Amino acid sequence: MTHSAAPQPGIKRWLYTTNHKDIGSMYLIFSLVMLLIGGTMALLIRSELFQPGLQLMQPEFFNQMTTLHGIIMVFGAIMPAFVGMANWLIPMMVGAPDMALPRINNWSFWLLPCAFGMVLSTLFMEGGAPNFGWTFYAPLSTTYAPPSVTFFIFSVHLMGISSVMGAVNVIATIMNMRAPGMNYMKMPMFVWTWLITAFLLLAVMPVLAGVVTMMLMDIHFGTSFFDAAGGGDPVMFQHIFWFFGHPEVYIMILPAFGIVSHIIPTFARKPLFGYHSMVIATSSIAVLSFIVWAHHMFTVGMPLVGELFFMYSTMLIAVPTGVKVFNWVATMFRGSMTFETPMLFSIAFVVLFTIGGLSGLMLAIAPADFQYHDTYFVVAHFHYVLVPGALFSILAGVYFWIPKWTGVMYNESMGKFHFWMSFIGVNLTFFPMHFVGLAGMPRRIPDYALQFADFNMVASVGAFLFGFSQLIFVYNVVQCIRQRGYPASPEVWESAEGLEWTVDSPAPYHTFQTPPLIK
Amino acid sequence: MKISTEPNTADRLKPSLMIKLVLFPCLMFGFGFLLIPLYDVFCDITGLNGKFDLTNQQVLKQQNLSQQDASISSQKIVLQFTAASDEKKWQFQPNDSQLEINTGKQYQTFFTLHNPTKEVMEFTSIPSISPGLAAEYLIKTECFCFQKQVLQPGEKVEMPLIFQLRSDIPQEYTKLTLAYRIYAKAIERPTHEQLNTSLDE
Repeated sequence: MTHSAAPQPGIKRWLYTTNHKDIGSMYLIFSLVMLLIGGTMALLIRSELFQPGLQLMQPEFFNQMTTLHGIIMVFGAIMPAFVGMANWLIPMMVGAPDMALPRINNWSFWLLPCAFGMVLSTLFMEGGAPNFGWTFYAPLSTTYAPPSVTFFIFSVHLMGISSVMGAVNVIATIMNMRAPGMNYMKMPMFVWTWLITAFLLLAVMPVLAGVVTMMLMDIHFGTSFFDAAGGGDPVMFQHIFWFFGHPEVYIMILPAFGIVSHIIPTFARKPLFGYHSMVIATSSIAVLSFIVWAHHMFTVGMPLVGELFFMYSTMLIAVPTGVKVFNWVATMFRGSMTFETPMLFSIAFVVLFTIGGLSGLMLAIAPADFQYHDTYFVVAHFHYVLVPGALFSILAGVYFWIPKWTGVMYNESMGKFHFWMSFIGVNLTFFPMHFVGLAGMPRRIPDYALQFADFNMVASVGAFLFGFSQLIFVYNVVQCIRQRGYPASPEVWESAEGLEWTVDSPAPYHTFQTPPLIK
Repeated sequence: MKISTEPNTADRLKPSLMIKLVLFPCLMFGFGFLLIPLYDVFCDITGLNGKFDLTNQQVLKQQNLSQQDASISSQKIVLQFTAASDEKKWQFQPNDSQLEINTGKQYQTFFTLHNPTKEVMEFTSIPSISPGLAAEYLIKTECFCFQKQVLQPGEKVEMPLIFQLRSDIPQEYTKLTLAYRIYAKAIERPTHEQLNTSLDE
């Protein structure tokens, strides 16, 4: 078997590539495009909510926007960004020449543009795009769904296949291709968190594929999985969906934990505090994520025993998460800290993710959840863990590793400006949502009662600030790709640890053809 | 420890791992479908979702009947009946809107259901008792909700419900509501001629 030494010319390089760095770049660029599309939808939502009343769009279109915004951000922006980073970094971090299954790697990427092309095409179909929310609860997504739901189902299948193949690839790479001497407890945290994430993906993406298949059968083949008329049960949909959905939220946050666990030690100039406890905490979060799903559905009429079980098991997750937050703070404690852009994003991650975690703890209290359920408080909670959580960690990671990827230092002052605009924008957008949520504003509505007007206006202003400040990031990244900037040294950062910093910047097309020996 | 001089992706890959990694997602796909019977089995074993199956009810009923002779005081409780359906046209309603009943005694009431369509319809009824915690004290000996009801076009039926309240029901329950919701499904598609005539009308 021979690998071509140099990339093929032109578009063929990208279509046929089996190189983990090329595929990683494609994933990252794809997710950036999706972030901008999903972000545009978010801005449409926020412009409609700028004032009470219907200004810009009809409720039907508003519902399509909330649905597509959710689907695109979860499956198109956050997940592919982490897979892209895994592609770029895992082989370099474990000292492998490439991913274990390069051809499958190529295929799992190219499925994504197809899947999202299909999702976006539903906007132009008769009856409009899916309008049932990203959680697509039956019977909204079966009996009352627009005809485009079938396209939605097949694109979810494609996303699922892509994720599962990506996960198989990551596991095979980590288990088989580590450099001699790198045992499991010497693996970098990003590799560890991705290994666990990959197992979660393998376990739950097929369940998601199963639940959309059941929807497909209910819609087209006369079965009654979720239809009470035929003896089915719509609540069953929620159970199966959240059996996928809860591990899914950890799929979106565990790699973020890994990224932050690289950046904080680098800029605190201290080794990561409590490496072993980090690994154990990550694993226990993953295990616990399988037994808490019904906290998303406290109000469906569960028996008391069920409410209590899911309440306590959910609260239990705060323990390993608390261990991780403690470790990051302890890493920073008495370190020689400097505040470059990746570090700023990482510190913001620790603070704001903790806020999101705490509101999650509030939601976990079953009796209180009856008040919070389906309000903007929930929206505030999950945006706090996904935007300043997952997204900030991705931005931090891109700033941290882009000198290694492109060989060029990004513009630091522009990066800091991007950070502060994002930080202010995110908090302006999502913090007021806690208040309107507690006051009773329901989520997924295009119009609202007058008393929520002021906070919604603040949130909309914040959203535009946040949205447009991402263009600074896009500009900064494009400048790096165009090689405009100071060349980066191989180490890039003063005290960065890991094999990826031992190769040149930019990383050569093929790295670690001969595995390094780990002491 | 073997350090290969010319590392090759394929050499280092263990086939057994790959088989497991492919098999596992396939099994999980099946597991997604398996969740449906698993939930039912789980609820049957633990009795968690308030559904008491028939055999359980028979046992309860016999226990209850034997207790009945010994029981001296029997409470009076108001039992309300409500009916709802996915579409108004079924005219699904209880014959008695409420009954004042004694615990430990058997009663009978009827629900009316009409099928005005030109199709054979199959109806599934889903019961619900509130307050929910009182559900276990209501014993149904016969109920139209035990099986699907099939109605011919234009047919109107009175469906029986035979029930009693266990005499050990706590004092605080003075009024219970038994609600049914009916879900309809056509079991025979109309022929094209029928469809055309109905469109002409």
